[in-house]
Amino acid sequence: MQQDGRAQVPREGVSSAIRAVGLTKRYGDFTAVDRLDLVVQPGELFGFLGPNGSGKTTTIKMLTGLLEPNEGTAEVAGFDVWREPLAAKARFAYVPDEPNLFPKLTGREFLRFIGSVFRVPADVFERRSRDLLTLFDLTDSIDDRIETYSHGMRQKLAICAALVHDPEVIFLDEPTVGLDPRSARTLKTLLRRVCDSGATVFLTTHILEIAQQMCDRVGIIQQGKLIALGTLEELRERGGHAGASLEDIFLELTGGAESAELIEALAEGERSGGR
Amino acid sequence: MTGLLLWAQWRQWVHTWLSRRRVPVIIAIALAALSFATMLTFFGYAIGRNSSLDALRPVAGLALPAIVIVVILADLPQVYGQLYVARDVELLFTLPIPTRSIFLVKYLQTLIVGNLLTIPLILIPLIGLGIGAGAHLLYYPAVVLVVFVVVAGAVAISYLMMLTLVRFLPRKRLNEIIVASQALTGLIAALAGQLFRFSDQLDRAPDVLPVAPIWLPTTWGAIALERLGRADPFGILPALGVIATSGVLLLLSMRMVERGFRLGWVRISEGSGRKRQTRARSAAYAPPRGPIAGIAVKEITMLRRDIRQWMSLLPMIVLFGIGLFQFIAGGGWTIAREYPSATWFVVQSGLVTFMIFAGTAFAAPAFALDGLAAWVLRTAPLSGWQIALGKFLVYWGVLAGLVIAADLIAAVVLRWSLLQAAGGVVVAVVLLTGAVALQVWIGTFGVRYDPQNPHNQLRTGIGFLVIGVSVVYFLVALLPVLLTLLPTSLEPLLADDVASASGWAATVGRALLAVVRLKIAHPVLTTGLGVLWLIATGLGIAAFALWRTARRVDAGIQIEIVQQG
Repeated sequence: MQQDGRAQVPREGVSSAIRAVGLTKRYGDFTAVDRLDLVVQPGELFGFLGPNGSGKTTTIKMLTGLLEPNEGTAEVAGFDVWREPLAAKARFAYVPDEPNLFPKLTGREFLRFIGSVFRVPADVFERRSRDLLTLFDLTDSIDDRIETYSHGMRQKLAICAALVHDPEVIFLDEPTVGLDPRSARTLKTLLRRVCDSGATVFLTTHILEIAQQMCDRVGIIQQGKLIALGTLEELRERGGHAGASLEDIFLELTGGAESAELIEALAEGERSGGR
Repeated sequence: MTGLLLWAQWRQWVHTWLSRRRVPVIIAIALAALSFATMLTFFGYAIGRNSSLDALRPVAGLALPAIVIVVILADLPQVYGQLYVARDVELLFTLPIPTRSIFLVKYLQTLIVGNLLTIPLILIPLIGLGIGAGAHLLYYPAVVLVVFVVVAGAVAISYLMMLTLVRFLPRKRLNEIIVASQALTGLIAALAGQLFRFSDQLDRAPDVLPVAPIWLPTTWGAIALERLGRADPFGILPALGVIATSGVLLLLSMRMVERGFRLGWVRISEGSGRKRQTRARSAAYAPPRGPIAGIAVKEITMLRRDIRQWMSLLPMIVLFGIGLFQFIAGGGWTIAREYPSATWFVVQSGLVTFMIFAGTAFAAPAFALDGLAAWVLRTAPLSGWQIALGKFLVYWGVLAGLVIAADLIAAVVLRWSLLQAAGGVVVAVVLLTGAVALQVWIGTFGVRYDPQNPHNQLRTGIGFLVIGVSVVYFLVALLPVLLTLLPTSLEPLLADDVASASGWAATVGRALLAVVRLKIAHPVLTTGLGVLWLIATGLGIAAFALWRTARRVDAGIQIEIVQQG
């Protein structure tokens, strides 16, 4: 039974918060994620980056039990997501990129539902709910039905629901999409604080600036394969680009540098054509 | 511009239907359609052979308005989807394309693609009818034209109704638009039925079929077919009347495109705009409950707030309501009160029928309600058992409430004894327990979520399967019980019959005789065995079905999300 604080302890002797071994997902001939090996340590804020369609969401769905891998294993807090789903799910929270929640419930009822499912004690639930709703500026709209919420408000409510039961691991898929700048800043600060208190965050994002500012380590996936993994410093060293930004490294690894040259050539062509 | 849009739609349609996955489906549909068309042709031909050209007008006069109602009912959700939900509308409105062109393409799409099956459904039997009745060659092109134009008119009525409703319904009610439009169509259909009754009194046909009123454009179509079938060239005049009517309906709907379509789309896209506060702030931060109670509360709250979910029960309640009204108005209940044992059986049989159909419509799609938010349950630390039980309790509770209320009202009105009333409630509740669990389980094999058409929650085949399995369940649960209720006075009659019978009849007779003799020897034991069987079947099936549902939840139930456009 979960109590105040983080009572859902990880399995004894387990040092990793997230562990993926040979994780593979195929759709017919197409391999969306190809033998992904990954370990994320407790307390780490891990950024999972990649171009559109590279396999980020597929990976996160396999790690959260929403998609069954063809091969490999996924563990959260030492529990196999597919063999011991309840134990694993009791220890993580997930915020999808498209926060579809139960539209006919009010925000408060949804939070209460989550509190019931995770058996959060009443006093803890009340305190955390109040704090999170105030933090994300949802207090005034919490008694409205979710169907009346904007995308950003649903996103914020999904984040509140993820944090209200104080999980050990939080998976966030593009969490800043749809958030206003203030809420995005709040989220960044909060996630950092959550990690500092010992929880683990696994997030995907397209905004490399956020990843550079926030993440302890990043992994870059392209065409289903993990092509880079490490801290920003480690990636710089490996690529031999001292002082390069994460954006430069990402573009070079994923072929974005070629696109930049193409754009330049295109612009040059237009300029000479216009003359 | 309209041509360009039509081309784009055509390409989308081709890509959708000729994808690798769909080819076998197309072949299966084509084969089924061919067999069905052959059957329909023979059906029409047989009617024509057995009557004469005189049959053309009354048959077409009934078939054409019937198809109008069918088309309107079937097309309304589709029209709503085409105009206000399809994903391409937003893009189209940002392009320099006149709204009328977009509307026309949507209309043609509904007319041709949406009625691919409806048009042959009426056209083929009418062609068969003409062949059988020996109609003139003019009849055949005329029947194609008339059917097509009548369906085109019906599609125009669907669009006109939808545009008018969107134009005039308050914004907060737009969510219930499909329900409103279908209720309106039901009303129209009921009124149309009355028109036929009145017309029948004024202009009684020589045969069994009622004659449609002369002012209905569909009647003009029927007259045209009859005249052209007799090689009367003046038959073209009423046909022109049908064409003109459909044309006027289309023009009327096109006049509404700006306010009804473009501005209507804007209103619907804005949402209800009403911020619904549901409880006072003092109730804030009510403590969480356990997981099963949490699921049940979530489920009942969602059901309570979506009037569209309750509409699935409405047809059954209306049907029973009408039956009851006629029974009371006809004074039947005063006689029925004299025979409480008979009425007890009649009411319980009615409730079993209610449990089959209401359970299929209401409880079987239990998992469809989660729709796009199903991920919340799938990522939560909930066992399949907890989810299945939480949902089951809600649907069972709602239906049990209705069934108990019906039993108690019947007990008072029909003067049942206390034992009969209590027995009725117990039997109904026990039967319902197994039925709902079974319906929820079978439903998990074909749940569907259609955000714009909440009635569309179950795949058609699975819907029929739920009904079939429910019927078998009730037979298995009730047949042995009914046997224990056989009167003991049957014993000598059965004994004689068994002595003279042979084969399977003798076997059945011997079994019945054994039950009756057991009842004579041990009346309490026999009744007790019947009751025990009922309870064991109801609760046993419920436990089994819930266990299977839980297993399916653990494995991950696939909800088919219906995408518009």
